[in-house]
Amino acid sequence: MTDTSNMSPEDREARIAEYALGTLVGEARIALEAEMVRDETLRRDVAAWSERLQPLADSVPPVAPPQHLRARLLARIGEGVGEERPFSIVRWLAWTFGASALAGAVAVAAVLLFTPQPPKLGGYAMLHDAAGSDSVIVFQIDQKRRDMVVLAQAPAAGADKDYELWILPPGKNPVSLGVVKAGERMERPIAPETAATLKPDITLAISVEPAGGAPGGAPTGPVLFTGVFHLAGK
Amino acid sequence: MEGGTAAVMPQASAPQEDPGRGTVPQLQLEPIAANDPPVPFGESDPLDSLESLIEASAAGNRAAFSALYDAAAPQLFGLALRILKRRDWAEDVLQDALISAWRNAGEYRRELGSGKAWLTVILRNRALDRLRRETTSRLEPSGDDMPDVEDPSPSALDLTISGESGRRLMACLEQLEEVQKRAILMAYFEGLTHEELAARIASPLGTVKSWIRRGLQRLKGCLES
Repeated sequence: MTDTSNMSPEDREARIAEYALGTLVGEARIALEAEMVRDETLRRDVAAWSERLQPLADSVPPVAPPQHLRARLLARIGEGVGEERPFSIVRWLAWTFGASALAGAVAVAAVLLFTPQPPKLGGYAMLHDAAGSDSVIVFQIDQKRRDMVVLAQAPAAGADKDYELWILPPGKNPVSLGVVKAGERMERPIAPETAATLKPDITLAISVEPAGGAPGGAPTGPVLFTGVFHLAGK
Repeated sequence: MEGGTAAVMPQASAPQEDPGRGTVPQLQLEPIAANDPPVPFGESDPLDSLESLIEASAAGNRAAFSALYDAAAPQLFGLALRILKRRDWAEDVLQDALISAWRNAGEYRRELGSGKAWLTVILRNRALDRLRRETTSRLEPSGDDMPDVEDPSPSALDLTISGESGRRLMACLEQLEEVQKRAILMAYFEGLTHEELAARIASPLGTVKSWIRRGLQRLKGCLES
């Protein structure tokens, strides 16, 4: 995928504007988000376009959301949703582009490369395929080992297929960390006993399973991605 | 709070409920009604307030976040409804977006843009993701998928945008060819991709792409002139 740095100024500007407008999709969007992680100028240019288009958002008549939504949201905040903010990774990006995942994935990669110890990150693994493609699955766990985030920068697993993430403890059965959707950011709690198996240098793997995950609780399909778990800062 | 200059956010001084909430505040932050001050952000510049509330939320101040909700949620919900045209989806997206804002408030940097634009980008990204997930997962809309919100697209092209930056944007949009302007607004408000726009406007994909591209280019040129 072409970096905007290799584009003519006109093409670069068009790419950024289309991203802010929302018409940039698929690989092109992913590539731009990935590039934003390492290019602050690009981030600023995207932000400037968002600001330019902001009056359009302002033109929409406000609608009071239902009262229950406010109560529910504040209750969730009260329960401590996000209290730990364990995955505070990249300025300006994580919040916006977390939903579209791939920025997140590469964001993590970039941070891990350039920051000795991102805040509150407990450990991580980067899973690659044997072919050495650009695809990467990023796994993170916070310091308290309560939540994990998985970001899958990879093509879809296929029709009626899902990726499933496993811990492979030596000499024991694989432990499932659940189904992982390509191109999505998944964030969920991790059971304490599962988290306890995450020792340094343990292998994580992604296998291709029937939709919904391996039926018998053990991997059935081919393993596509593997990577080694590291403690943050190590 | 002591003294009259309450610039510092108090911790959890706000009521969880706010019975005085009758009006629909605009994102253009009017400070919260005087009888219902979840967070006294003082008499600071109103335009500064949303940024302050995000920063206070980043420090874990729930009162600030509830004030942020009251200030921003109606505008964001309006936009979510506009894009998604279904209340249930819009409610999901609004909730996800605001949880995301709470969790990631610490990532917000003023120098990268206004708090309003920050929240809007979060909301729009979520809404567009949702829209595209729904449209790819069901090709034929069933009766259940009838929009809850009347599609306002024809009249919505007659935008009324207030504020100085809004007037400038309007003036520049007016300088575009009608079809360029239409394509850009449909993309922004309905989350249409190039392909969907081409189908909607019944024009070749390449033509639509180049309308948008040239339209955005001229828009920027005009805004910067």
